[in-house]
Amino acid sequence: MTSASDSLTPVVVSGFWHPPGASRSEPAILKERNQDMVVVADEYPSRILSRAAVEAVAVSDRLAQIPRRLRFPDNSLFETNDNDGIDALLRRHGRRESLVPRLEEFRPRLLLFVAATLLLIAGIFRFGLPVLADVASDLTPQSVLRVASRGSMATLDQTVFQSSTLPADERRRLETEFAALAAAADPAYTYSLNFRRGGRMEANAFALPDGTVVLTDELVNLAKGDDDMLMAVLGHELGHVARRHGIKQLYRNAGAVALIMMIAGDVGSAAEHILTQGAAVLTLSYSREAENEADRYSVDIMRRVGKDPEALARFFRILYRRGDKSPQAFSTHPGTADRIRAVEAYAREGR
Amino acid sequence: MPGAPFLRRDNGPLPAAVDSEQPFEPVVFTGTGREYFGIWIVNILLTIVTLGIYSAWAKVRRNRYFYANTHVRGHSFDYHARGGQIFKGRLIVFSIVAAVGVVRFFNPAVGALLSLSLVLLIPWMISRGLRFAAHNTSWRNIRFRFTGGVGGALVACVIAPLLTVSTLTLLHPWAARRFNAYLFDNLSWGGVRFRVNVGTGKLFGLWFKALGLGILLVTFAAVVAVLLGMNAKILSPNLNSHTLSDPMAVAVSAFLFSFVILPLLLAACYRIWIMNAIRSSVTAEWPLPPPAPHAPPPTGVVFARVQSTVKPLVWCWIWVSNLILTIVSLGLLRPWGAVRMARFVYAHTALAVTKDVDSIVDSLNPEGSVTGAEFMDTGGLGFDFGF
Repeated sequence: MTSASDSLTPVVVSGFWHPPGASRSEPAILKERNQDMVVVADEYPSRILSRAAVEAVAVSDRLAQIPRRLRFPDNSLFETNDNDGIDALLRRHGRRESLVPRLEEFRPRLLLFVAATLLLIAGIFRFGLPVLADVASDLTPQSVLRVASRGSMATLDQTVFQSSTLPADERRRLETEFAALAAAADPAYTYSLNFRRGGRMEANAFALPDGTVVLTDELVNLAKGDDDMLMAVLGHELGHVARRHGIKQLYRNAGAVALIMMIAGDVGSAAEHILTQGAAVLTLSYSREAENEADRYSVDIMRRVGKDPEALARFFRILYRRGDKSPQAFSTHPGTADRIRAVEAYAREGR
Repeated sequence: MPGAPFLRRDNGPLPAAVDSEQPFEPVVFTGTGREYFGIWIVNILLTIVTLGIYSAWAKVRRNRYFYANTHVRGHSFDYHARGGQIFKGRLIVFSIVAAVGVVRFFNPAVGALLSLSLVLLIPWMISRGLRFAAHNTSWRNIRFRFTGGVGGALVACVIAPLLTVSTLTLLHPWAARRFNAYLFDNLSWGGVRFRVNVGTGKLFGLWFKALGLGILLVTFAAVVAVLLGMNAKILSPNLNSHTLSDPMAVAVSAFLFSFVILPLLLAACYRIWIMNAIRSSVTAEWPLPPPAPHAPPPTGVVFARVQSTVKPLVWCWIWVSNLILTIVSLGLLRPWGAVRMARFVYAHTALAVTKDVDSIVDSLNPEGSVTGAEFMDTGGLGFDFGF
C-alpha cells in the first residue's frame, strides 16, 4: 500500500541472507540508509552483513509471489517474500516497475487477453499466413524456382522414375499438342513435357514450380487415345505452376510450424502435437482450394486453344469408376463427384 | 549462533551424513493455476505479437515460476538464464535448421546428407545444453554443475534410444539407466556429487513384470472382446457395414481397449515404475579422498537420499484428464493442468537431507552453452532439473 507518508517511512524488509557462494543462510533484515541498501542480521541489528548503493544491487524481476532475490556486489544474496516492500523501495529510488508482472495479475482483463490471443491465432491462420505466403511466393525469383525444380527432378529420377517406354511418334504427337497449350499459358515460365515410367507413382501427371511437367506412361495408357483428356490434365498442372501453388503451400506450412513452435513451450508437448495435426488438416483445405483453382485453369486454357473445356471431367469420371470415391474432409483433393460437377458447371458458364 | 564452519573440498570437517532414521520430506510445490494462468496467457499473447521473439523471455518466466515454487527443506530453486541468452541460442538453432531446409529445397540429396551430419552434432549439443541448464539452476545460493562429456552423451542419448527401438524395447531398462546415470553421475552441487545406485537387474525385472502383466491382461481383454464380438454378430445378423448397433459398438470399444488403450496404459505404468526405481536410488554424496593414491575412492558421506513414490495409474489419470480438459477448453485450462501434474509428482518425491546442508561453499563454475540447451528444447528434448 502506498501513501504520502511512505515517502518518509524507511522501507524495512525481512528475509534471509546467504554469504557469497555459500549455502548457509541466516534470518536478516534489509533497510534503506541514505542511498544504500543495508542488510543486517535479524538477531544482532548492529551486525552489518552487506551494504551497497541501491543502483549497484541486482534485483530479480517480480514474478507472481515468488521470492525476490537481491544480489549484492560482493556476491551475497538476500531473499525475501515481501515483493511489495521491495517494489516500494525501488520506486523511491527511481527504478521503474516492470509492466509485465502487472499484466500477469489475475484480474478480469485476462479475459481480454484470452480473447485477443484467440482472435490473433485464428486471424493468422485464416488470413495472415496465406497473405504472407502469397507475398513470399511473389517475391521468390524464377532462378530459385529453377534450381529447386531441377534438384527435385534429379531426386525423383534417381528414386522413383524410370525411362519412358512410350513409342516415339506418340511422344511427338503429345509434345506438339502440349506446345500449343504452353503457348497459351503464363509466359513467365519455361514449360517442358517430360515422359517417364511412373513405377510406384502409377498413372500420374504433375508439374514442378519452374514449369517442368511430368507425364507418366501409365496415365497415357489409361487415356486410351483420348488426347484432349490428357491435355486437360496437363492444363490443370500448368494451373498449379501459374498460380505457384507448390511454393505457397511450402511457405504456409513453414509459417504454421513456426507459429506452433513459438507457443509450444507453454502448451506442452501433447497439445503441440494436436495443434500440428490441426494445422495439417487446415493445410488440406488450402490444397483443395488449389485443386479447384487448377481445375478452373484447365477449363480456361482448353477453351483458349480451341479444345473441349469439359475434357477434364472425363478424367474424373474414369477415376470415379475406378473407385476413387474418397470423402473430402481428410483428402488433399476435393471429392471426385464434386469436381466433375464443378468442372462442367464452370465450363458451361463461359459458353 | 555461529554457523557451521565452511567446508573446503579436500580438508576441513566433513558434513554429517543423513541419519538413517531421518524421515523423507516431500518436495513442496506452492504454485497455483490461478497465478500461473496470468503468466501463461501473457506469455502466449506477447510471443505472438512479437512474432516469436518474446518466446525466449517467456521461457525464462515460466521456468522461474516453477523453479521458485519448488521447495526442498524450506528453500526453493532459482533459474538464472536470461532471455537474451536464450534468444541468441534459439536464433542460432533456427538459422541452422532453416539453412538446412533451404538446401533441402534446392537439392534434396545434399540436404539429406546435411541433416544426417547435424545428427552427429547432437551429443555435443546435449552435453553443452545440460551444462548450461545445470549452471543456471541453483538451490540455497549454490549453482548446480554438470560435467558430462560428448562420449557419454553419444551413448546415453543417441545410441541407447536407437538400441531400445531396434530391440523392440528389450534394452529399455539398460537405456533408461544409462541415460539417468549420464544425467546424475555427472551432476554436482557445491562439491556434493549425485549418483544413481540402482542395479540394471532390478530394472530388467520391472520390464519382465510389465511384459508378463501385459500378456495376461491383453489376452484376457482380447478374449472378452472376441466374445462380445460374437455376441454382437448373433444379436444383429443382418447388419450392413454402414450402421452400428449397440452390441457392435460395445465390441468395437472392447477391441480398442484391449489392443490400444491397455497396452498404452501398461507402457506408461512401466515407465513410472522405472522412474521411481531409478530416482529412489539416487544419492548425493560428499566425496571422500581415496585411502591411497591409486586406490578407488570409497563411498562418500551420504548427503541426501531420494524417494520417488509416484503412483502410475493416478499419473495416467491426471495426464489423460489434463489433455481432455486442455482440448475442451481450447487450451485455457492448461495452466491448471500443468500445476496439477507438477504438484502431484513433487508430492510423491521426497528427500532426506543432512542437517549440515548449510555448510557448502561453491567453487568456480563454468557456464556451458546456451545454444545446446535451446537445441534440446526445440528438438523436443526438453530437460529440466525438477527433481
